[in-house]
Amino acid sequence: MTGEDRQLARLLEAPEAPAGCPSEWTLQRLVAEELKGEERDSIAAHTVACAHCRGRVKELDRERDAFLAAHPYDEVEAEIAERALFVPDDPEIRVGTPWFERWRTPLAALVAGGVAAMAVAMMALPGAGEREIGAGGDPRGIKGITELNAALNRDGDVSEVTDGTRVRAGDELQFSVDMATYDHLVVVGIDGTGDVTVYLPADGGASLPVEPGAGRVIGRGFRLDDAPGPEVFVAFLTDEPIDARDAAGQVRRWARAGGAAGVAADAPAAALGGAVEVLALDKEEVGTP
Amino acid sequence: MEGAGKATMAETATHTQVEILYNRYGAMVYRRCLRILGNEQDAMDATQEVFARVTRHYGSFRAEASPSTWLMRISTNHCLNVIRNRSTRRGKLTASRHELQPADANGTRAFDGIERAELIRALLIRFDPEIQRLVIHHYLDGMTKTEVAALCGLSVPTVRKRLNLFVRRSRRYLQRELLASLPRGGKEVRP
Repeated sequence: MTGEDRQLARLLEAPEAPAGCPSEWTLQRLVAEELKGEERDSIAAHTVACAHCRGRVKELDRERDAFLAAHPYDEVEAEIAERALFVPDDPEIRVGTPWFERWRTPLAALVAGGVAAMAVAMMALPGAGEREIGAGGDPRGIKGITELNAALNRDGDVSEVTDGTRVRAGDELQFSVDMATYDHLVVVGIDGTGDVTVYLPADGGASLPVEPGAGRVIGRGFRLDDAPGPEVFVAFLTDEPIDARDAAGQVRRWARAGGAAGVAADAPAAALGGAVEVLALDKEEVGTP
Repeated sequence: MEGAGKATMAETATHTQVEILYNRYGAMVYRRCLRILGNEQDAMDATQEVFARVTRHYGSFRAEASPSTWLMRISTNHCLNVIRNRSTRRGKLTASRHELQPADANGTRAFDGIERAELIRALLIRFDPEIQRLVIHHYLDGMTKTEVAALCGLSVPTVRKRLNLFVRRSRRYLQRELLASLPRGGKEVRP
């Protein structure tokens, strides 16, 4: 790692609170007297005992006093009132649960005790129609499995998948995606040999329309073949319909420079009029223990 | 006249509520606007805009949500709009380049001129609004990933993945675009 690498890593680290301390956000809410009940008592007790947090709370108190001294409400009231006359209706300022609901994730299923059910469901499904991931392997899909993104079934053990997870041939993957603000989805994969496969939509044509909401089934499960890794999956999230062939072409272009690993590193954050989500998995070599 | 009277009553009632919110949360809103926008004038302007929206939309406030969450959402949306407008004028990371220092023999001083918040602000424009919000909450507001996930209605793994994506692509971008503009004497960086 070069000196620049180390410095970049340091700059891009979030300013984490010391271990065991509440977050900066929580301390700000404490100062704003917003915390209630046990949470308030717990955080307040911590700040009494912790010099770091006690100092930060005092600093936040001072900042609030200084701000109100410099900009008392009496002085900004007229400006705020005038601006208010020109504020348009804006649904984004509503509070509480966002307009979209959270997608149920495999992890949530784990927490809810659904591991066994999911595992049973995955293992009980017949192999007919399965489609292998990899270098043009036999199309075999596991129908009926829900969600994209993050569940791995290995010999009946279901676990969460994140970037860098080591997978191997025979593993079954099941994806889900948080569709916060987009309405259409295409998922394209590329393996270590550079083979590009469209996984969603199943017919490889127009993108899959997905209504925002919780727990909607948007795809199938897949079984990994023995193509060498890495296995990289690219989800295109868009407002308008796109053609999966365009998405696949985009992935091929990204891959020209650095193969599947290059796609994982270089796929831009926005493409084809929407967002791009990349899941890059490491692959164990065949025969690796 | 009757309509005007009703409007006046409504404004008077809201005025008191807005004043209470301003006295309690004004500094918090200003602080985060300053972190996102990077200068005091824009931050104060944004703070007033946020409380104008509070005045205008107080009726939409729901008691079950915390005021800070409500205010953060308003201020995030407004500040991101400001950043988007700026990006049409500025584009790349030019604002930070002049502060780069030539690296020493070990390349350890290349980024000394960049403070974290400035770097985050400069990188934000390259990402879609969803990632922008997550980055602001995590890097500038100091929320944990769990807090960000709860606020944004996403799963923690999704938040973690998107923040990792932000870091990974930011590093690539900086190595390619920013370091290429280092003044003579700067350490050459191989991609």
